[in-house]
Amino acid sequence: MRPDKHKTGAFTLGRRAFLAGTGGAILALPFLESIHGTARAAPGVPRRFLVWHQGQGTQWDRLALPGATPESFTMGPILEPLAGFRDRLAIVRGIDSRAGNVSEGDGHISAIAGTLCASPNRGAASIDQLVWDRIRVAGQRSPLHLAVGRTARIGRFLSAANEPVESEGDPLAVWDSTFASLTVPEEDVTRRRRRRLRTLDAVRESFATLRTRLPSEDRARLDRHAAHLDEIETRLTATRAACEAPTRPLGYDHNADWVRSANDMFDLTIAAFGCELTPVVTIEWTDDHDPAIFSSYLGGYGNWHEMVHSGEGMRGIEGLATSYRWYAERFAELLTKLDATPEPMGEGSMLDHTTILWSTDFGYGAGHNKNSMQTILAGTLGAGVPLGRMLSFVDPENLWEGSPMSNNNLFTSLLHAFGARDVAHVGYMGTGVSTGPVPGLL
Amino acid sequence: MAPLVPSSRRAALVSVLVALAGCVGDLDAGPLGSGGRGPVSPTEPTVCTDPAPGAAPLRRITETQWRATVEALFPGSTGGVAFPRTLYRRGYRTDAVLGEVSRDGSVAIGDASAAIAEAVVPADVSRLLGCTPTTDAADACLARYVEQFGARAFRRPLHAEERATFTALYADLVGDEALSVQEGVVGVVEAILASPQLHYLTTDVADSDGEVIHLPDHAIAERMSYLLWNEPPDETLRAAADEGRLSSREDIERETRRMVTDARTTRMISGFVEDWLELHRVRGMTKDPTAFPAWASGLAGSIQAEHEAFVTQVMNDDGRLHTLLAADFAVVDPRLAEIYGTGSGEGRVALGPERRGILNLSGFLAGHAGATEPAPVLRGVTVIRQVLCEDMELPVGLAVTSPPQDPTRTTRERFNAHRADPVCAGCHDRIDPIGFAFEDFDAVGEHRNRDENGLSVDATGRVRSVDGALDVRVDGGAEVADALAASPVVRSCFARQVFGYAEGRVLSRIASDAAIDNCAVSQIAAQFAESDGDIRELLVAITTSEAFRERRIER
Repeated sequence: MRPDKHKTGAFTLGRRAFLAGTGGAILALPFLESIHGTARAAPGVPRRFLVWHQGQGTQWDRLALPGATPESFTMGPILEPLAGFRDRLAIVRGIDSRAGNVSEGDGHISAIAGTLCASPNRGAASIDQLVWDRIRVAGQRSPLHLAVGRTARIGRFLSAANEPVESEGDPLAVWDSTFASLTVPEEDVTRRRRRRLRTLDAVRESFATLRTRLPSEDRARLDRHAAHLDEIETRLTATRAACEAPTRPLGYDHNADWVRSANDMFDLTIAAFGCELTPVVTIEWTDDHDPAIFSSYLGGYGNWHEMVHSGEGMRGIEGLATSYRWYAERFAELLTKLDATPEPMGEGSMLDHTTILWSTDFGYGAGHNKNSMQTILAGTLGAGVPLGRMLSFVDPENLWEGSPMSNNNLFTSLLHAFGARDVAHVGYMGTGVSTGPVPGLL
Repeated sequence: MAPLVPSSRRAALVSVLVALAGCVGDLDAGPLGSGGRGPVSPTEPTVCTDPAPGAAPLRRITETQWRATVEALFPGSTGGVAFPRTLYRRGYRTDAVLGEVSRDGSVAIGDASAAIAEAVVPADVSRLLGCTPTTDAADACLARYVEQFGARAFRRPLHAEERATFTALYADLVGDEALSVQEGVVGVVEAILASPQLHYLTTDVADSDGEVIHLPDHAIAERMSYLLWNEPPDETLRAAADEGRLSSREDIERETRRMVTDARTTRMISGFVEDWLELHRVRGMTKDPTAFPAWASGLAGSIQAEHEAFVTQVMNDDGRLHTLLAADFAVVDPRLAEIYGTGSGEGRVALGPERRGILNLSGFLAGHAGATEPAPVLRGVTVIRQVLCEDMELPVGLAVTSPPQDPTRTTRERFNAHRADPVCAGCHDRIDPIGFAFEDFDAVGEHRNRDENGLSVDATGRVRSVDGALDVRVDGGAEVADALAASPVVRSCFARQVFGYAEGRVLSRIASDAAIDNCAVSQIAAQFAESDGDIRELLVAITTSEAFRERRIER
């Protein structure tokens, strides 16, 4: 979709104004903003949250290094593609994934099971869901989970404890499930909703009937399924977005061209945000173990994963940083698109109102450990929060020492940034970790 | 420069190649795992005086089974319809835990049911119903359709409350003047397709009491057909259930024997073996394009095609476990013929003495290998867990690292490091001697005497069960295959694996109620042994067992 599409009246005030009229005080401000248009957005929370997850950690000494002050950090070769966004980033260096470290399984499995949910062994909803719970408004669908690479349900993103969600890798499938209904005449949507809501009630009745005939252990399991029927109703009754569907992506082998499919996903993300379908999107690189695409950077040596383990210097190849940098190039493309999209609900660009969390599984890729991770935040952390900074808590050179900060603190900060100041601490309480938000971030 | 990991770090050094188990869609670890620790004896109890049914959690049918179920109702209706993705647990797609429905999964099931119903109900509904319904709440035409269609969808006659739900829905829909009769019927079909009675194998305890119940005939019928054919019951089985002819052991044996000779059972066995040996790992795998150009030209596809063809050949030959594990033939296309060095022939070809059975085919060897070199730890662990049935889990808090690349040392020499550390040796002394014995096969399964660096390969090893009942020194993958194929330990383990598959559970020897399963398995394994390892007889032993026919319940 071209950015200029957003100027064609696609995102009119209709839907949000409607929500504001029915949704209560929390929506009053955006409503007034949208009515009055040019008023400077009052200091407030970011409007949207985007989680970008890439596997296999990074090389901290080539990512960015701290300077004498938080503002004087140096961006390394991996972040070179993001040079133009230096003042839109906050890099948090040297925090641990404590929950990942105590999760079961090997380096990969435990990282998957404990990083984004910040609780051991997939013991809680992941941060995207926690933020969504706080900022969604009535009628918005649950977070949109996108993948670059194959469609997969890896378990990093969870709607609740032990409930992994699927990340969809086919842009066409995303469009079909997210935007197709926008192309259906309003009257057909209404008829279908009338039928499906009544049908859903009958299905609920089926669950209830079956339930009475089951032994107790089975009832509990059936009830967990039945509880999710509400999500069908949520989507059926979602307010119809007052915007146009983005251009339908062409069908193609999305696994064969990640640059293209990533850009399609970026466009779909922006469209979903712009239409206010959901305030939260996740983008996950699902083929992060041995991406064949990196083989050309590795002198034809296809085993990226072994390269990560071995650190660099293996076979004299400098390809690791080049591969990590490749992700940064894609990230820069995403930021560029967000920045080129006028904010539909206010002034500035969509990037100005979106918080982006760039997470990865490991601190030091070669060790596959979850200590001293480098996490990048981008876009905004709320009005008045300065960016263009690096906060460094431990020197990753001492990665076995353990950081006083964990991603639990970081996620607490994120919830605070989204206005949930009542949250004392998110997830796992490990020993030796202070509770509360990351000091100095917000 | 990246710093070195301090060698003083007191961390278990486990091969990175085990880390490959964290592949996409695999929920092996975490709270869903068995929680087992360390090696546990595979010995079956010798005395089993009181066989009792084990746990039998509510199970949701798999995607394959759902498609077969809906296709039986509306042929051609599920193509292109999305369904919640399959997850794997220790290789298995059938585990009941994986049948848990997520929020997105719930939406997918609802949307699929709506889309199918909209597509299959014609504007002239009489073409579907065989009669023309009125808009009357008590319409007889509609009531009859609900009765008949519901019974097919739910694999049993409907209860009165269920009939009432769907007829009331119809009345509600057509009572809305905005909606048509067609939309009323669409709603009924949609509701039945989305109801849990279609999606789950249930145990109805409403009309029984006591701790152990015999499953009703219709429940037996659906358990049999989804196990043996991955389909809902066919007309014969339905009739048997309707007429109360699935109650006795003899009844079930008769129907099982009819079914297991069918090609659908062969396909089921093929799918089981894929799960059992975790062969799905090959899908989406990458291999070094320089070292293995065949991979880029579609070897993974050849491997997947070979799998079903090979299992079919085994089942058509004698259907024995020994043949599956030690066959001296393969079923190849030109790509695999080149890997196996079998010459120009296609289809069934004789193998050289260096290669025997399914564990020496490319599916297992390439699937349990890295991009450039074999993964001895992964190969060894898979044999220990899946073929010897020994619980072995990764320790918590493990710092995974890998032996550095070194062209002057063989894989064996590099990996031997982890056995020097006593923390690691506990498991690796058992894993590595099995894994190293596959070293004569490279990362795509081609036989080799020299490795990728030109170093001479040492494929000696030792296949040993933890209790010592199996203990054979071997040299090369073919000897591993022969040793396993000849072992009663492996035969008993196979029975355990198929039984767990039938029950929708990954069995653990160290779970609190393991004794119950062990007892059931020992009886089934004894029958399997009597048949000299005939896989079809194993299926008969399972469906006729108390464990399959009964259920212990907590109300």
